[in-house]
Amino acid sequence: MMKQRLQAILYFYQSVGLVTGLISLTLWIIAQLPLSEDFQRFLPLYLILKAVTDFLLWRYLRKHHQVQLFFYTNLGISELRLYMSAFLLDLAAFFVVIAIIKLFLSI
Amino acid sequence: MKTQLLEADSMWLEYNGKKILQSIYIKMETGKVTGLLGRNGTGKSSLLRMIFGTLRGQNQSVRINGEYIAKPYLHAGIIRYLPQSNFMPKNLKVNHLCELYRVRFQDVTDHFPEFDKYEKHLLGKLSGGEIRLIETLLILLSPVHFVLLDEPFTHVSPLMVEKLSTVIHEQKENKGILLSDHAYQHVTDLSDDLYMIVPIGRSVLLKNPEQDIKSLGYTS
Repeated sequence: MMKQRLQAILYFYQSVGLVTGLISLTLWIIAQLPLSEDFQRFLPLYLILKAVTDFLLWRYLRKHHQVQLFFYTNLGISELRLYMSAFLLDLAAFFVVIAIIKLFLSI
Repeated sequence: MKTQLLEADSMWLEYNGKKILQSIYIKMETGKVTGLLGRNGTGKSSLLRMIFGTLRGQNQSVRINGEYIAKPYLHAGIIRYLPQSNFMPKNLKVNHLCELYRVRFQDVTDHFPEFDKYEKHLLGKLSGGEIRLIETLLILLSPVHFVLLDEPFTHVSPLMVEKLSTVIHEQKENKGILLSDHAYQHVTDLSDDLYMIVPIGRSVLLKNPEQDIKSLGYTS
Protein backbone atom coordinates (compact mmCIF):
# COMPACT_ATOMS: atom_id res chain seq x y z
CA MET A 1 0.00 0.00 0.00
CA MET A 2 2.95 2.33 0.68
CA LYS A 3 4.02 2.07 -2.95
CA GLN A 4 0.55 3.02 -4.17
CA ARG A 5 0.37 5.95 -1.74
CA LEU A 6 3.76 7.22 -2.84
CA GLN A 7 2.80 6.95 -6.50
CA ALA A 8 -0.44 8.84 -5.83
CA ILE A 9 1.41 11.62 -3.98
CA LEU A 10 3.90 11.91 -6.86
CA TYR A 11 1.01 12.04 -9.30
CA PHE A 12 -0.59 14.83 -7.26
CA TYR A 13 2.69 16.71 -7.21
CA GLN A 14 2.98 16.34 -10.99
CA SER A 15 -0.47 17.87 -11.39
CA VAL A 16 0.33 20.97 -9.30
CA GLY A 17 4.13 21.06 -9.58
CA LEU A 18 4.28 23.21 -12.69
CA VAL A 19 2.26 25.99 -11.04
CA THR A 20 4.03 25.82 -7.68
CA GLY A 21 7.43 25.53 -9.38
CA LEU A 22 6.74 28.63 -11.46
CA ILE A 23 5.73 30.47 -8.29
CA SER A 24 9.09 29.56 -6.72
CA LEU A 25 11.06 30.68 -9.77
CA THR A 26 9.06 33.91 -10.02
CA LEU A 27 9.80 34.72 -6.37
CA TRP A 28 13.48 33.98 -6.97
CA ILE A 29 13.59 36.18 -10.08
CA ILE A 30 11.78 39.04 -8.29
CA ALA A 31 14.41 38.77 -5.53
CA GLN A 32 17.06 39.31 -8.25
CA LEU A 33 18.30 35.72 -8.58
CA PRO A 34 20.03 35.36 -5.20
CA LEU A 35 22.72 32.66 -4.81
CA SER A 36 25.05 31.67 -1.93
CA GLU A 37 24.83 34.13 1.01
CA ASP A 38 22.14 36.17 -0.74
CA PHE A 39 20.09 33.01 -1.10
CA GLN A 40 20.35 32.35 2.65
CA ARG A 41 18.99 35.85 3.30
CA PHE A 42 16.24 35.25 0.72
CA LEU A 43 15.25 31.89 2.23
CA PRO A 44 13.05 32.98 5.21
CA LEU A 45 11.02 35.37 3.05
CA TYR A 46 10.78 32.71 0.33
CA LEU A 47 9.46 30.12 2.80
CA ILE A 48 6.81 32.53 4.11
CA LEU A 49 5.65 33.56 0.63
CA LYS A 50 5.70 29.95 -0.50
CA ALA A 51 3.55 28.88 2.45
CA VAL A 52 1.09 31.69 1.67
CA THR A 53 0.84 30.92 -2.06
CA ASP A 54 0.53 27.17 -1.43
CA PHE A 55 -2.17 27.87 1.16
CA LEU A 56 -4.09 29.90 -1.46
CA LEU A 57 -3.65 27.08 -3.98
CA TRP A 58 -4.95 24.58 -1.38
CA ARG A 59 -8.01 26.81 -0.77
CA TYR A 60 -8.65 26.99 -4.51
CA LEU A 61 -8.39 23.24 -5.02
CA ARG A 62 -10.55 22.59 -1.94
CA LYS A 63 -13.24 24.91 -3.27
CA HIS A 64 -13.25 23.82 -6.91
CA HIS A 65 -11.90 20.27 -6.97
CA GLN A 66 -12.89 18.85 -3.60
CA VAL A 67 -14.40 15.64 -4.96
CA GLN A 68 -11.08 14.75 -6.66
CA LEU A 69 -9.51 14.49 -3.21
CA PHE A 70 -11.45 11.26 -2.68
CA PHE A 71 -9.07 9.65 -5.14
CA TYR A 72 -6.34 10.16 -2.52
CA THR A 73 -8.38 9.62 0.66
CA ASN A 74 -9.46 6.25 -0.74
CA LEU A 75 -5.77 5.37 -0.71
CA GLY A 76 -5.50 6.39 2.93
CA ILE A 77 -3.84 9.75 2.24
CA SER A 78 -5.25 12.61 4.27
CA GLU A 79 -5.62 16.05 2.76
CA LEU A 80 -2.99 17.46 5.12
CA ARG A 81 -0.50 14.74 4.27
CA LEU A 82 -1.13 15.23 0.56
CA TYR A 83 -0.48 18.97 0.62
CA MET A 84 2.45 18.76 3.05
CA SER A 85 4.09 16.11 0.86
CA ALA A 86 3.60 18.25 -2.24
CA PHE A 87 4.96 21.29 -0.38
CA LEU A 88 8.10 19.43 0.69
CA LEU A 89 8.62 17.93 -2.77
CA ASP A 90 8.28 21.41 -4.21
CA LEU A 91 10.91 22.83 -1.86
CA ALA A 92 13.24 19.94 -2.66
CA ALA A 93 12.78 20.46 -6.41
CA PHE A 94 13.44 24.21 -6.06
CA PHE A 95 16.63 23.67 -4.02
CA VAL A 96 17.88 21.14 -6.58
CA VAL A 97 17.27 23.64 -9.41
CA ILE A 98 19.10 26.39 -7.50
CA ALA A 99 22.00 24.01 -6.75
CA ILE A 100 22.26 23.08 -10.44
CA ILE A 101 22.24 26.75 -11.49
CA LYS A 102 24.92 27.55 -8.92
CA LEU A 103 27.03 24.62 -10.08
CA PHE A 104 26.61 25.66 -13.71
CA LEU A 105 27.68 29.24 -12.97
CA SER A 106 30.73 28.11 -11.01
CA ILE A 107 32.12 26.04 -13.91
CA MET B 1 -13.98 -15.53 7.35
CA LYS B 2 -14.97 -13.74 10.53
CA THR B 3 -17.84 -11.31 10.10
CA GLN B 4 -16.73 -7.68 10.28
CA LEU B 5 -19.11 -5.18 11.79
CA LEU B 6 -19.23 -1.42 11.25
CA GLU B 7 -21.56 0.71 13.34
CA ALA B 8 -22.17 4.41 12.83
CA ASP B 9 -23.78 5.81 15.94
CA SER B 10 -24.82 9.20 17.33
CA MET B 11 -24.00 10.93 14.06
CA TRP B 12 -24.83 14.59 14.54
CA LEU B 13 -24.27 17.22 11.87
CA GLU B 14 -25.28 20.86 11.71
CA TYR B 15 -24.46 23.56 9.17
CA ASN B 16 -24.85 27.15 10.41
CA GLY B 17 -27.18 25.99 13.16
CA LYS B 18 -29.37 23.99 10.78
CA LYS B 19 -29.69 20.38 11.83
CA ILE B 20 -28.90 17.91 9.03
CA LEU B 21 -28.34 14.69 10.98
CA GLN B 22 -29.16 14.29 14.63
CA SER B 23 -29.98 10.75 15.57
CA ILE B 24 -28.42 8.21 13.31
CA TYR B 25 -27.56 4.61 13.88
CA ILE B 26 -26.54 2.41 10.96
CA LYS B 27 -25.05 -1.04 11.08
CA MET B 28 -23.13 -2.66 8.22
CA GLU B 29 -21.65 -6.10 8.20
CA THR B 30 -19.70 -8.25 5.80
CA GLY B 31 -22.01 -10.53 3.90
CA LYS B 32 -24.75 -7.91 3.67
CA VAL B 33 -25.83 -5.00 1.52
CA THR B 34 -27.23 -2.18 3.61
CA GLY B 35 -29.46 0.20 1.72
CA LEU B 36 -29.83 3.89 2.55
CA LEU B 37 -32.75 5.91 1.26
CA GLY B 38 -33.85 9.46 1.84
CA ARG B 39 -35.18 12.45 -0.03
CA ASN B 40 -32.85 15.02 -1.58
CA GLY B 41 -31.04 17.07 1.02
CA THR B 42 -31.63 14.73 3.94
CA GLY B 43 -27.88 14.29 4.47
CA LYS B 44 -27.19 10.88 2.93
CA SER B 45 -23.95 11.94 1.26
CA SER B 46 -22.84 13.78 4.38
CA LEU B 47 -23.51 10.67 6.43
CA LEU B 48 -21.41 8.54 4.07
CA ARG B 49 -18.54 11.02 4.32
CA MET B 50 -18.80 11.04 8.10
CA ILE B 51 -18.62 7.24 8.16
CA PHE B 52 -15.66 7.34 5.76
CA GLY B 53 -13.97 9.85 8.06
CA THR B 54 -13.43 12.88 5.84
CA LEU B 55 -16.30 14.93 7.27
CA ARG B 56 -16.44 15.77 10.96
CA GLY B 57 -19.80 16.41 12.49
CA GLN B 58 -20.66 17.90 15.88
CA ASN B 59 -20.71 14.35 17.17
CA GLN B 60 -20.02 10.96 15.68
CA SER B 61 -18.93 7.49 16.57
CA VAL B 62 -17.81 4.93 14.03
CA ARG B 63 -16.92 1.56 15.50
CA ILE B 64 -15.46 -1.41 13.73
CA ASN B 65 -15.97 -4.65 15.60
CA GLY B 66 -16.78 -2.51 18.62
CA GLU B 67 -13.59 -0.45 18.43
CA TYR B 68 -13.91 3.31 17.92
CA ILE B 69 -12.03 4.59 14.87
CA ALA B 70 -11.91 8.34 14.30
CA LYS B 71 -10.96 8.27 10.63
CA PRO B 72 -11.56 4.83 9.09
CA TYR B 73 -10.19 5.87 5.68
CA LEU B 74 -6.69 6.25 7.13
CA HIS B 75 -6.52 2.56 7.97
CA ALA B 76 -5.49 0.28 5.11
CA GLY B 77 -7.91 -2.44 4.11
CA ILE B 78 -10.95 -1.10 5.93
CA ILE B 79 -13.09 1.17 3.81
CA ARG B 80 -13.47 2.89 0.44
CA TYR B 81 -16.01 5.44 -0.73
CA LEU B 82 -17.58 6.17 -4.11
CA PRO B 83 -18.65 9.83 -4.15
CA GLN B 84 -21.61 11.05 -6.21
CA SER B 85 -19.54 12.61 -8.96
CA ASN B 86 -16.44 11.60 -10.90
CA PHE B 87 -13.32 11.68 -8.74
CA MET B 88 -10.59 9.77 -10.52
CA PRO B 89 -7.91 11.61 -12.57
CA LYS B 90 -8.85 11.52 -16.23
CA ASN B 91 -5.24 11.55 -17.40
CA LEU B 92 -4.28 8.24 -15.82
CA LYS B 93 -4.60 4.97 -17.69
CA VAL B 94 -7.21 2.44 -16.61
CA ASN B 95 -4.62 -0.25 -15.83
CA HIS B 96 -2.62 2.25 -13.75
CA LEU B 97 -5.73 3.15 -11.75
CA CYS B 98 -6.34 -0.56 -11.15
CA GLU B 99 -2.78 -0.94 -9.91
CA LEU B 100 -3.11 2.02 -7.53
CA TYR B 101 -6.37 0.69 -6.10
CA ARG B 102 -4.97 -2.85 -5.98
CA VAL B 103 -7.68 -4.23 -8.23
CA ARG B 104 -6.72 -6.73 -10.94
CA PHE B 105 -7.76 -5.50 -14.37
CA GLN B 106 -8.72 -9.09 -15.07
CA ASP B 107 -11.35 -8.85 -12.30
CA VAL B 108 -12.86 -5.82 -14.02
CA THR B 109 -13.04 -7.56 -17.39
CA ASP B 110 -14.37 -10.77 -15.83
CA HIS B 111 -17.49 -8.78 -15.02
CA PHE B 112 -17.41 -6.39 -17.97
CA PRO B 113 -15.57 -8.06 -20.90
CA GLU B 114 -16.35 -5.02 -23.06
CA PHE B 115 -13.78 -3.06 -21.03
CA ASP B 116 -10.94 -5.29 -22.21
CA LYS B 117 -10.04 -2.84 -24.97
CA TYR B 118 -9.65 0.00 -22.48
CA GLU B 119 -6.78 -1.45 -20.46
CA LYS B 120 -4.23 1.11 -21.64
CA HIS B 121 -6.67 3.92 -22.38
CA LEU B 122 -6.67 7.16 -20.45
CA LEU B 123 -9.76 7.27 -18.25
CA GLY B 124 -10.76 10.57 -19.85
CA LYS B 125 -11.09 8.88 -23.25
CA LEU B 126 -14.03 6.79 -22.02
CA SER B 127 -17.66 7.92 -22.09
CA GLY B 128 -19.31 9.40 -18.98
CA GLY B 129 -21.15 6.16 -18.21
CA GLU B 130 -18.02 4.06 -18.69
CA ILE B 131 -16.00 6.34 -16.39
CA ARG B 132 -18.67 6.01 -13.74
CA LEU B 133 -18.66 2.23 -14.09
CA ILE B 134 -14.87 1.98 -13.87
CA GLU B 135 -14.85 4.17 -10.75
CA THR B 136 -17.62 2.11 -9.17
CA LEU B 137 -15.90 -1.19 -10.00
CA LEU B 138 -12.56 -0.01 -8.63
CA ILE B 139 -14.22 0.84 -5.33
CA LEU B 140 -16.39 -2.24 -5.27
CA LEU B 141 -13.59 -4.68 -6.12
CA SER B 142 -11.07 -3.07 -3.74
CA PRO B 143 -9.48 -5.32 -1.12
CA VAL B 144 -11.32 -3.74 1.82
CA HIS B 145 -13.97 -4.86 4.31
CA PHE B 146 -16.48 -2.07 3.68
CA VAL B 147 -17.50 0.03 0.71
CA LEU B 148 -19.79 3.04 0.63
CA LEU B 149 -21.52 3.62 -2.71
CA ASP B 150 -23.16 6.98 -3.27
CA GLU B 151 -25.35 6.96 -6.39
CA PRO B 152 -23.51 4.15 -8.23
CA PHE B 153 -26.28 3.81 -10.84
CA THR B 154 -26.18 7.45 -11.97
CA HIS B 155 -25.28 7.83 -15.68
CA VAL B 156 -25.24 4.05 -16.09
CA SER B 157 -27.42 2.40 -18.76
CA PRO B 158 -30.14 -0.07 -17.64
CA LEU B 159 -28.24 -3.08 -19.00
CA MET B 160 -25.10 -2.06 -17.13
CA VAL B 161 -27.15 -1.41 -13.98
CA GLU B 162 -28.21 -5.04 -14.08
CA LYS B 163 -24.64 -6.24 -14.47
CA LEU B 164 -23.45 -3.89 -11.74
CA SER B 165 -26.16 -5.22 -9.44
CA THR B 166 -24.77 -8.71 -10.02
CA VAL B 167 -21.28 -7.52 -9.02
CA ILE B 168 -22.67 -5.90 -5.87
CA HIS B 169 -24.48 -9.13 -5.02
CA GLU B 170 -21.28 -11.16 -5.56
CA GLN B 171 -19.04 -8.77 -3.65
CA LYS B 172 -21.18 -8.78 -0.53
CA GLU B 173 -19.93 -12.28 0.09
CA ASN B 174 -16.78 -10.84 1.64
CA LYS B 175 -17.66 -7.18 2.09
CA GLY B 176 -20.14 -4.96 3.84
CA ILE B 177 -21.70 -2.65 1.27
CA LEU B 178 -23.63 0.54 1.99
CA LEU B 179 -25.69 1.50 -1.03
CA SER B 180 -27.42 4.83 -1.53
CA ASP B 181 -29.18 5.69 -4.77
CA HIS B 182 -32.34 7.39 -5.98
CA ALA B 183 -33.07 4.28 -8.08
CA TYR B 184 -34.77 3.00 -4.92
CA GLN B 185 -36.14 -0.14 -6.52
CA HIS B 186 -32.60 -1.36 -7.19
CA VAL B 187 -31.59 -0.42 -3.66
CA THR B 188 -34.51 -2.29 -2.07
CA ASP B 189 -33.95 -5.32 -4.32
CA LEU B 190 -30.26 -5.55 -3.45
CA SER B 191 -30.43 -4.71 0.24
CA ASP B 192 -30.51 -7.13 3.13
CA ASP B 193 -31.18 -4.27 5.55
CA LEU B 194 -32.68 -0.97 4.57
CA TYR B 195 -32.51 2.35 6.40
CA MET B 196 -34.24 5.58 5.59
CA ILE B 197 -33.24 9.05 6.74
CA VAL B 198 -36.35 10.96 7.69
CA PRO B 199 -36.79 14.60 8.79
CA ILE B 200 -35.01 15.89 10.68
CA GLY B 201 -31.95 13.71 10.32
CA ARG B 202 -33.17 10.53 11.99
CA SER B 203 -32.48 7.03 10.68
CA VAL B 204 -35.21 4.41 10.61
CA LEU B 205 -34.57 0.73 10.00
CA LEU B 206 -37.34 -0.41 7.68
CA LYS B 207 -38.96 -3.65 8.85
CA ASN B 208 -41.33 -3.83 5.92
CA PRO B 209 -39.64 -1.82 3.14
CA GLU B 210 -42.45 -1.83 0.53
CA GLN B 211 -44.95 -0.52 3.05
CA ASP B 212 -42.61 1.71 5.08
CA ILE B 213 -41.30 3.52 2.01
CA LYS B 214 -44.83 4.69 1.26
CA SER B 215 -45.88 5.40 4.82
CA LEU B 216 -42.75 7.52 5.39
CA GLY B 217 -43.58 9.57 2.31
CA TYR B 218 -40.64 8.51 0.13
CA THR B 219 -43.00 7.32 -2.61
CA SER B 220 -46.67 7.98 -3.19
